[in-house]
Amino acid sequence: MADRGELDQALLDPTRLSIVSVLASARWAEFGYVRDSVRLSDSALSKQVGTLGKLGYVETEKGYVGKRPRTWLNLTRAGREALSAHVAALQRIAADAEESGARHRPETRE
Amino acid sequence: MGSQPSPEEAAEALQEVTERRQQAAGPDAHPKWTLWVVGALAIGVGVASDLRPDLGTSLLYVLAAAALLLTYLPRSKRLGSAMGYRRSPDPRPVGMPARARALRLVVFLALIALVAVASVLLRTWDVPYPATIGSAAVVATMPLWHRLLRRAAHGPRAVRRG
Repeated sequence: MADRGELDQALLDPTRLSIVSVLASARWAEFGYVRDSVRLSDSALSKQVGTLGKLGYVETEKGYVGKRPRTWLNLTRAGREALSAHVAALQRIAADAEESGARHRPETRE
Repeated sequence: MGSQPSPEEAAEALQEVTERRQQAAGPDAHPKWTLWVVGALAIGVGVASDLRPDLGTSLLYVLAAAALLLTYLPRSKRLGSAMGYRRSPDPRPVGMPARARALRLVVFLALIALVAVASVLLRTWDVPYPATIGSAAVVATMPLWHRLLRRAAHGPRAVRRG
């Protein structure tokens, strides 16, 4: 999954990155909460959760609260590790660009 | 995005991660009814301790039990959902860094210290119903505490701006 050692191809998709980021900050979240947070339809979120589930990043649990069905989503340890590595890689890319920009700035000064 | 994001895309992605973390640590983690319960409980304990000082220890037990219930019950998915929580109210460490958690603890301790000092001063000055006044003051300033705790709960910015 990883590119350059840390960048995760699955998380390069902005929607998947948003879903994983929401789940990374909570111990559990209802399907509806994630859907509203990332502004997706039920089917679109189901598809993305299915993809993340196949990668082992997200696990789902179905149950009932009273008579109402609920689906809860959790980010797995593998998912957390993948996100941490991905964020580190993104920070490195941004920092490298900042550094090279700083190096070239004096030459481009008018 | 392709297989290797540009620096601009990387910065945008980091910004997105930061915003989602902050969103998850935001004030909507708790259903509104819990704030009303906390407020009513605080005033109830204040009034009761003024009217029945002999119940002081029992009231402390009630307060501690309520705090524990409100803290730990929502950690369970089913109980949390039944209480109106749409996600766990306690953020993972990735959502709340150690510095932020320490800051939140400091805010809580400051609140307790303030109530204790105010209570002693009000009693010293023979002000009637000191606990009621103290608890009402705490409830009245709850938006302020809420804002401070919210600020403390925010995670680190994933993107650094030069």
